[in-house]
This record gives sequence, structure tokens and C-alpha cells, in this order.
Amino acid sequence: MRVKKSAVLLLCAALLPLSGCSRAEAALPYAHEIEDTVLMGALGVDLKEGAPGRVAVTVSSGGRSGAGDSPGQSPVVLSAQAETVSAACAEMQTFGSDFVFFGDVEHVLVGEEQALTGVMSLLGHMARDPELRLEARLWVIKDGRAGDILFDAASDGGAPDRLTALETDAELAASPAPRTAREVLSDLLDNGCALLPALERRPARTGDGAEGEYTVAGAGYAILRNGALAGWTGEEGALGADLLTGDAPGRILEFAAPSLAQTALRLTEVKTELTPSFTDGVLAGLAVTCRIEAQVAELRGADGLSEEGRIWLEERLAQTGEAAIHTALDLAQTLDADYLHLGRKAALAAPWRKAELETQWKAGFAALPISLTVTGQVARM
Amino acid sequence: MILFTALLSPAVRALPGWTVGTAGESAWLTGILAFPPFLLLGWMVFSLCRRSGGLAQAYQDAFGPLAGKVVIVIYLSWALFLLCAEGRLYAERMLSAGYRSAAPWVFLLVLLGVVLWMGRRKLGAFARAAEICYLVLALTLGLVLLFSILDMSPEHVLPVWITDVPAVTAATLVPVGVLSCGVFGGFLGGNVTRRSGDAERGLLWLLAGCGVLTLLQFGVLGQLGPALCGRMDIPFFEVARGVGVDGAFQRVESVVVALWVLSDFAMLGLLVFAIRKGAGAVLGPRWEHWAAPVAVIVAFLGGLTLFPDDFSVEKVSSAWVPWGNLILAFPVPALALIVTNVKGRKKTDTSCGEKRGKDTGYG
Repeated sequence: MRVKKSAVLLLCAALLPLSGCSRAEAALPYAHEIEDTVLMGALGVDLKEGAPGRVAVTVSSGGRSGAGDSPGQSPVVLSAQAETVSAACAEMQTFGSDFVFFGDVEHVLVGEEQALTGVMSLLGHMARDPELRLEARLWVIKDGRAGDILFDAASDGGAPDRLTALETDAELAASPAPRTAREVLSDLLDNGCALLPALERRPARTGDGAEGEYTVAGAGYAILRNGALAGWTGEEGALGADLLTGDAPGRILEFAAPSLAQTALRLTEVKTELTPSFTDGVLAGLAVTCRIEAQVAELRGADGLSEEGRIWLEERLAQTGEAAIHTALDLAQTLDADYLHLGRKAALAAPWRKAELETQWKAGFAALPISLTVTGQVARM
Repeated sequence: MILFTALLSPAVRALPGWTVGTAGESAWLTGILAFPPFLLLGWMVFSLCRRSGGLAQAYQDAFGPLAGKVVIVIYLSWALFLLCAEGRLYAERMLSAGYRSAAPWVFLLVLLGVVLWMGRRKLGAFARAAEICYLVLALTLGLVLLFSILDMSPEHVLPVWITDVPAVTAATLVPVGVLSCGVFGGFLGGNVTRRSGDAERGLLWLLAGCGVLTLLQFGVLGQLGPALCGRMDIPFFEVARGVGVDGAFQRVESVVVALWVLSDFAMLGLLVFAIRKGAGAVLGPRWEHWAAPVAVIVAFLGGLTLFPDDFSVEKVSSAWVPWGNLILAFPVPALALIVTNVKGRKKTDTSCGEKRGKDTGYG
């Protein structure tokens, strides 16, 4: 009797899809053939030209090289415009017979005009969308549109590969440090400010490896305030930001002196400490202490490094670091944007002042006296 | 083990998303501060069950047959309500984790069908199944927390200072309120074989549970930060999205979300078995057999009609459910324990008085 009951129930379950209950079928797993699916690796968002309030979304897949009898596939770049990113992505599904899959998007590019209006809505969409992921790297395009970058890169193997290379280059400190959308969203929700790596479109030149007319390269960082683009760090400010955030190890700095050979130093370690000072419970200042350690990467024109040369290099290293950090801090105070989240770091250094910092930091940051001490050390050849 | 497995589902739903609003980056301390109230709850239920062999019998012994049955009916009603809400929340999670607009009733039907199949069998079979669920969930949770803690930002969870204590104390109401639905485990006390060391084992499980609550919030907060945690529906599953090693494995969040159904299964099963025991105590052993199918049908219909959309069930689960759990988990068992102790003392005094009377010639 029990077996009959179970069999009846199983039979009913098996017949359920035939009941015309389409929503029940919608809950069943579904699949797309990989050959009929285009995996998009990069997504770009710009403001539609001439139509404020509308967005232009451009997506690009990576190229697939052929193997055996299977032919390769060139990168596919699609673009659509709508009031929202969701609507634009949905419209792209109608472009051709293949299924466009956005779950593989590793890089999201935001054009400068779009960044000026704000990135919070895009990040909110990425947080809610089941395909897009907050683990994707977020980039801002300086003086340009994200769509242009993606279309240019189509002739160069596809934007996803190039962007992944830039992300890897950051370890060699040749590019700005990548940041995930999640990190940026967390920073923006914390105090409305964030640091985003910037890219720019440059004409290709012989020997840079680019196959097309243009290439994309790192361009420092973009500073966001209240969720929107407020300024750029430039190269010196980018170095200062990296020193303060600890992303500088691996960078190459070049120095030359009349008595010394051309020297390239590779940064190996950076330690930064923040110490807030208070007077009668009122935030009075911030002391920033930075110790930069480097090794000699290359010495041109000399057989070895003398003691005088080492001391000179250490002084120049400290001066360079100090100038860079000054630039980064001045930018933050001028824009009144604590994009380096120094307030959080100061609270970590002085937890007994947490309550005072929470109430006084935001209002007092722009005019806060900041003292800076940078020391350099050339630790080894 | 059943309780630990069952409570993981409401735990990841509420923590730390509901605690950060009050406690900020110190929210992870609520797991530690929740230990004393949970210890009190555990002690009360353990004391009641030790004397009477189950909460249903304990309430009847304490309040009398009629009043005790009224109290049990209140518990049964709340358990049915929780069945409706938990089932609907599970269906909502399946919809949001998937990529298509399916109907919630499909997921609810399948899970409740499995729960019904298990609920009509012996408690021992359910306990064995819960052990396997516990193993899978413990491994999954451990993996996610390991990756999240190894890659966290200290500024998201520190600093914590004495000035945070009032906010953390207030926020501790959240884990205590959400997880004190574990009091329904007391209804199964009559089926548990007493062994020596039960109290010590219970204490160890409680310590481990509070440790898990602390680490869960610590890891999730460390990854997302307090502000982002407060904006997300279930921050734990967002953290699971980042679990992986480049070139080895990635994108495991679908697996984690799917495996969490084991906790929902344990929770719904716990409630169904508690309803069975309560129904048997109120209506008689014959009704214990029919309680599971009736409860499942009510859960299915109630889940879809009481909560026609996600917003209604989320509002209820965050605003009403913790308070209902708190009332049924603390004042009622405390009152029962006090009444039982007073009755026990009176009986002791009476029997001492009779003995003295016999000795002196009175009575």
C-alpha cells in the first residue's frame, strides 16, 4: 500500500509539467548550449549623448582562439541604449540568435560623463542583479567613454583580456591598483567617498603591443565624493594614495644625480601610521608617519652603490614619497573628500577616541592640520 | 544537533544585517553577548524537560491540565505561524537566487512535501538526517567563513570600545529574538534518551553556537562593512559569492544557497515534530499521527495567502517574529519553572509536615 502511494505521488509529480502550469516549468533547471552562448567579460556604462537620463551600455566578450576543428571567435561587442542598465541588457538579447550571458562580466567601465552624475545607481543594480557580480573590477574612463574603449579593443583581442592584463600589471605597480565594485560600494556607503582606478584611451605606438589604432592604459585614480566623480589624482597623487593605502610595493622609482648613476629603486614595503591628536576633547590634528623601504632594481653607470650614494637615494626617496603623499592629502582636503578613509584608520589607531572621531572627523577634515613625516630606506641591492 | 542545523537558516538571514543598524561595526560582539540569555533559556528548558520529559508535559504539570493545554495551543499556533513564514522565506530565497521568474508555490510544495514525508516518521530518523545536514552545513559555513576572515578589512570590524556596549547590548535582542524559536526543541524532550553528561554537552553546543554567531558576523562584516551589510537582504550569501581560489574554484554561491535548504528542512522538520508532540498532548495520541499533514497543509496555504509577496513576509519576520519568540522562550518557561518549583516545595513541606505529625501523634 505504501509503495502504491509513493508510486502514485511520483507519477503525479512527473505529469505536473504537462498540466500547462508554465510557472512550475519555469522553476525547473534550464540550460544553454555553450556554443550558442556569448559570455560577456566587460561591461561599459556611459551617458547617452544628447539624451541625459538615458544610459548607453556596451558589452564585450573576449576572443576565443580556435582549437582543432573548432574555429576561433572574434570578440563580440554589443551596445544598446535605454533608461536603465537592465533594459539595455535585455534589449541586447534580441541582437542575434545567441544567448548573451552577463554572469561572466569581470570588468565594469564607467565613462567620465556617467561618473560625474554618480555611480551609486549602477552599483546598486550590480548588488541586486543575479548575473552581474560585485566582485567585478570597477574602472573609470578619463576623458572618454567606456563604449569607445570596448569597441577599440575588439580589434586587439577583446577588452576583457586587456583589462585583466591591466589588473595583473597592478601587482608590478605599472597600473593603478584594481578595486572591486563591492569595495567601492562599501566605501561610498561609509562616507560617500571612494578611490577608483582610472583608465584612458591613448593612440597606439609602435612597440607597445597594441594591434589596433588605440590602446588603453592606467591613468592614476578617480576621486569620488558623494558617489560622483569629483577629481583625479594624477600620477603623483596616485603614488601618494598608493603609499597611504599600502598598494605601493612593486613600484619602480627612478633617480639620477650628477655624481650617481641612473638608479631605479623598487619599493618593497610601505608602513604608514596615523595618530590623531586632541586638545580638550577636540580633534586638533593628524600625524602621518610613513616608512618606505626599497631595493635597488638597476644601477646604470656604476659598479656598486657607495654609502654616500645610498644615503642620497634614501633622502630622495623620502622627499619623493613626502611630495606624493602631500599631493594626495591636499587633494582630499581641497575636495573635502576623505577618499582614503583616514578617519577609519585614525579610529583604529586610537580606539579610545572613537566616539570623538565619529562626531568630529567629517566636519573638521577639510581644515585639519596634518603633519607628515616620511623616511626612506634602501635595504638591499 | 537538530537545533544547531535548524537555526542556521534564520541566523544567516538576520545576522549581521539586522544588528548593524544598531551596533555598527561592533555588531559581531552580539554573538558573545547572546550567550547568557541562551544559557538561561537552555537551563530553563532543560530543567523543565528533566522533570517532566518534554515541554508539553511540563506545562501541564506546572499550570494544570486545562491551562497547560491552553499554553500548548498558543505554542502550536505560533509554530504554525513560523512554519508559514519560514516556508515562504525559503521560497523567496530560491526565487531571488535563481534567474527566472518562477512561482514560489513550486519550491514551497517540494520542500513541504519532503518535510511531510519525514514528519510522518520517527523522530530518530529525522535526527539522523539532521546529522548529515549538520555535517554538510558545517563544512560549507566553515569554508565561507575561512575565506572571508582571511581576506577581510580590519577597519570594517574595528575598533570596538566601551562606548559601544549599550548599542551592542540593544542589538543582542536580534540574535536572541530570532533564534529563541529553538524553544520548540523542548517539545521533543520526551523522546530524548537521558545520558550522563547531557548538561555539559548542551553547554558545549551552546558555546559553539555563540562562537559561530560571532564568527559569522565577524567574517561577513569584515568583508562587506557595516553600511553595505545593512543594505543587503542576506549578506552571508553575498560573501559566499567571493569565495574561491583563482584557477581552482570560484562562483560557489549557487552551491551554498542550494545547500542551505538543508537548514530550512531541519527548521521546518523541527516545527512539524514539535506540533506533533503538542497536538498529541492536547488532543490525544491519535491526533499526533494527523498533526504533520495538517500542519504542512496549513503551512502551504498560509505561506501563500498570509504572505502574498516578499515584502510582507520580510516585514513580519523582522518585526513580529523576534518578539513572539522572546515571549514564548523566556517569560512562559520561567513562569512554568517558578510554579513547578513552588509546587515542589509545597509538596515537600506537606510531606515533611505529615511525617512530623506521625512522629508526634498528629495526622
